Amino acid sequence: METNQRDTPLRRFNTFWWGLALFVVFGIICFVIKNFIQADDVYSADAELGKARLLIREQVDADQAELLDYKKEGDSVQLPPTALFPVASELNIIDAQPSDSGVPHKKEYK
Amino acid sequence: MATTTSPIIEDTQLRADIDRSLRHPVMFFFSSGAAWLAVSLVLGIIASAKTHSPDFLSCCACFNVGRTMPAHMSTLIYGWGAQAAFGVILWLMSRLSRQECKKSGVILAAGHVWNAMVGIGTLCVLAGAGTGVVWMAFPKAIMITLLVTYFIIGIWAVIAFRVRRGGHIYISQWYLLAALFWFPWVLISGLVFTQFYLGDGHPLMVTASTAWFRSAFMFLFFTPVAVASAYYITPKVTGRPVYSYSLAIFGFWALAIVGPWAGMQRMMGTSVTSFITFLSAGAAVLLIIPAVALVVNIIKTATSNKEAMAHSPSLRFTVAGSLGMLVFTVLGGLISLPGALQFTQFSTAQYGLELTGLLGFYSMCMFGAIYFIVPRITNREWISAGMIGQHFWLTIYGVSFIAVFYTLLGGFMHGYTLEQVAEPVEASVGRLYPYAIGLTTGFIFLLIATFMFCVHLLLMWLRLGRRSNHPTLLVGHGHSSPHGPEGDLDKLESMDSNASAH
Repeated sequence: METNQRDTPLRRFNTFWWGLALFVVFGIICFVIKNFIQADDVYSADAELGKARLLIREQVDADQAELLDYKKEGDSVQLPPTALFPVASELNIIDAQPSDSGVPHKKEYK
Repeated sequence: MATTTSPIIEDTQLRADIDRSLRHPVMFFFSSGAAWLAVSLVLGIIASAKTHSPDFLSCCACFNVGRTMPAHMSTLIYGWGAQAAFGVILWLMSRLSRQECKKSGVILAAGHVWNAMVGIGTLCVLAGAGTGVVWMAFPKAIMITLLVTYFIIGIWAVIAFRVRRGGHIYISQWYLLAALFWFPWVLISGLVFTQFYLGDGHPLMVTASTAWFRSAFMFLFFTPVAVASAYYITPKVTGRPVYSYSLAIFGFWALAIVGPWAGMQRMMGTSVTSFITFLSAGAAVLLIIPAVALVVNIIKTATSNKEAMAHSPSLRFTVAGSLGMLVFTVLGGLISLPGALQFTQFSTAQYGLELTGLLGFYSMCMFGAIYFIVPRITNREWISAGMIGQHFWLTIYGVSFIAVFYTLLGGFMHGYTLEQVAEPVEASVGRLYPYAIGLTTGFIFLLIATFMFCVHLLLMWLRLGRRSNHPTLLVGHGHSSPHGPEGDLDKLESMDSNASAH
């Protein structure tokens, strides 16, 4: 069989590093496009809105966590929902089968 | 004194050496990919069952539809889709470049890392630690590790191409090389923009980035790999050249030019620039062109040898997969029309379309490739033609159920009901009930088919396949093999040894 002139260690080595460089270049191009090309007035205004949205989300997450956390008010105690599953299972609430409500099903959902 | 051997023997020896060098990594990718496909279908059944039977597996939070659905799609894409593609890319590129793989151990190790990452990522998603980004649900660190692992796997196919023997570059190599370069572009772009926009508090742009990413991953990675496989297997099995090589090249450029523009049509009506969304809708329709080019070429080539088309499992799956691409792009074009998007934009049609593409087009082509490649690398033939036939028909039934019931009928009905402002959202869920059952039925067909495929593949991996010089063909009981009487390799070898002893 004729020898393969293309198959040289240098060519294999080059291909490996060019391939790796291409990966890095893709990442750099994305980073540059995201951070430098879009820096106009509209984008700046939108970035401010984004910061406001993130603050709202953080506040919502914190409020929700607080609402669902353990709490004791007078005689009643509030537990996180996950803590209630074993209790509900013991009381046979979760496994209870649905029963007929007696209201006929309507097509219009009113 | 140097001995001279004929070019045919040298060529056969070279092909055997290539197959031997890739046996372990390719079989590993195919086997683990098939196992992930089964896992994905089980998760898909759970997610689908939740839409018509919400109490199903309600005992544990990890089975919520919000977790099983992204886990199902992630295992389908990164567990099955990517690994099947890696196996096909490595084998096809080595065969077409006529180069043995010299780093099969490195690839195999990278394959283990890939599987470990997919496993950990799936557990994270099921535990509620997923990102919530569609098709990129795995945590960021896992996605980055997958990207690095891809480089370690894919670079050897690029090196095989660079040091190839011979001057001519076959059309399959065009598609494979393009897929190898498009994969990092699409994944890095998707990851960078999604993560940046998530961090900057721009949910709309996260949705827009993922809409493009999903389309690009399908058309710029899965599609070229499937088309490359079809253009290799069809001429090989039929023994005829590709019907029109010019049409094949035209199809490649059509895909390369149109493919990257599709995806953003899902954002129509949002504050994303109208120009981009309408351009994407146009591109989604124009993607029918490369599909037609493929189907014409594959059907014309396959029908030039009708006997092979009737009997070869690889060709049957490949032809069905090519037709699947046409169905996928026509459906994609239909639901992307601005008039239709009113009903399909937020309905189940988008998910159904993705499943139709991944299972009806891409997976069928990959099954065809696996049925072709595995006997060559294991030096064994498939054990049961019946199991292959059942795998084929059950897959067709499953995909048909999904395409007809969930993508078309369910998608439009769901969207139509969502448009009725007088009705609450529960009405759209209620109307979806029969179509959701259709989806679950389709998944069950696919799971049975995949189970049979996994068992068959496992037996081949254990080298328990038939030792025969005849391929396993889909011939009926009343027909004899077109190759004549069965030729058992063990018997032939013993006859040869007896003859040489005398």
